[in-house]
Amino acid sequence: MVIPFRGERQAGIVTPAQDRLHFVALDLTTDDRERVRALLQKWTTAAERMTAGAETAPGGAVGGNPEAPPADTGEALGLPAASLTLTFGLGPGFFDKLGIDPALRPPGLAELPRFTLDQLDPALSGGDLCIQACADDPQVAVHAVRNLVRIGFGTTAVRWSQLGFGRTSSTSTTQATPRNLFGFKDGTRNLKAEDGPELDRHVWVQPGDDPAWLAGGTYLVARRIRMHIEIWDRTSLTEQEVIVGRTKGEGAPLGATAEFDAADFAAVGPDGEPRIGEVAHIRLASAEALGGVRILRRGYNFVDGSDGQGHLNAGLFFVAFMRDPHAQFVPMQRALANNDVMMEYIEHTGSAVFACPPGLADGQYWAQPLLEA
Amino acid sequence: MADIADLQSRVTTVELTPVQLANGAKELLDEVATGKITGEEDRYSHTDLWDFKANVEGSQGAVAALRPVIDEKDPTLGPLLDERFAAVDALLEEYREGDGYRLYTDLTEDDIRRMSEAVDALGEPVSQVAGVVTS
Ligand code: HEM
Repeated sequence: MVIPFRGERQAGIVTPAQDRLHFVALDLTTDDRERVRALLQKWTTAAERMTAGAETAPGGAVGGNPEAPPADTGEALGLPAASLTLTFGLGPGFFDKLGIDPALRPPGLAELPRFTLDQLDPALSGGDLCIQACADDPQVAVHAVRNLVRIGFGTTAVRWSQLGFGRTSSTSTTQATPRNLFGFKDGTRNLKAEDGPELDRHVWVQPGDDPAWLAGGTYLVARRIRMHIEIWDRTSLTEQEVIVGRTKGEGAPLGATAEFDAADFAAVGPDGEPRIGEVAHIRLASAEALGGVRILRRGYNFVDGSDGQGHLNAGLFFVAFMRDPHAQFVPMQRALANNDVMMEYIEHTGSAVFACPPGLADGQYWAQPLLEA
Repeated sequence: MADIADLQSRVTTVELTPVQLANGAKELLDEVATGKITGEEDRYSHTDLWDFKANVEGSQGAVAALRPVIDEKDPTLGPLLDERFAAVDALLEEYREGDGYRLYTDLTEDDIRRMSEAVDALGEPVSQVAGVVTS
């Protein structure tokens, strides 16, 4: 399947979450605006071609001058587009290094506060730019990132990158809810593509928000969350369900029976205690507890080999989209970091925020509305 | 792998075909990228940045020999190569100590990352030379 590259909004946000991810954060190695503009144009051309299932350039893999290295690296030859989306974002360093007018800098890029128990590794955090490649085939996603990184040499360098092997969220009512590595359905009560006005309210930067060029765009918050799955696996089913606030099998809120039954946060059990505990993950993260705040979660499971101590280096690469990280992610993560019992089983090891421009009209290149604002 | 001294001597006497020269320029940088930067090469015992510098100079010499053809076929490539070679040179200068360079063992991870980035930035246009001179 081919997902259109151009349109009012960037693809890869409310697009039904594909199964695989390759996410890359890059740093600019130049402060020359013209050079960056030239790269963004080249990237856009290559990205558009790849999302249509084509090589980075016509005849790119084997059709060129045999004395020259092929323009396309070739590992996606013969593979379909596999729903590839390439979502582009700008980090704080992009504005600093290029000396962009402070009036054009998205205020949401202000540094996130430190949260309780954060164990952030600078080598897995930040970045001047990001490209999120999602596809139904991991080879297609990796091919896209690899070729864009290659095109960027001399203007950008990879800061960190993350593979995700399975989606942990559904972002459309047409999708079945997948499971994260704790074995729980994830994404049941997510914002979804079909949520229309709720998306305008919580995800898309609106006309009138600051800065104007970002209207129709959004912010991406990425958190690499290591999950201590071995410890979780020694926890009783009851305890696991109490921590999440939902049943493991069906994914129903405690006290209800079906996955999509409403969570009744006021319900009290025969013991006089709330059915969904005061510090259950879904209560702490709910709009009800946070003055109406919601986000669109679009994360991926990862296992980056092992940790040298006999454990899998596993976790959830949390990706979420929202209109204002400081009004949405920050209070939500603060509530979780301070009170969520799940924190005993997880560790946030990486963090980054990017501003994702609106979608591209015909002929436009990535970040053009900013660079020509 | 091309031998630096041999390549340099032959560059001056121009015994190599343009493709051989271009590939020699590329291989000298490949050697820097895969061995000399990462410090994984024990073969070069007590290596310092001299080896790095020698490879870059060899590569630059080979490219210089081809420069008239490059300029004729793709006028944008030459200036880009000049700039990227100059960036690597400037970076190396930062590590000059007396008559030589700082030892690898004294470089920080950040130093090595910067060098690796500069060599990647140079390696891409150098890898285009063979295609351009045969186009
Ligand atoms: C490894 C880390 C995490 C795991 C395993 C996890 C797991 C879950 C599960 C199983 C659910 C219930 C199903 C659903 O409605 O999607 C859920 C809900 C939710 N989670 Fe997480 N989560 C994690 C981290 C986070 C983080 C970092 C945030 C945001 C700061 C977050 C925000 C939410 C929200 C907003 C909901 C929906 C709450 C509701 O309204 O019912 N989660 N999570």
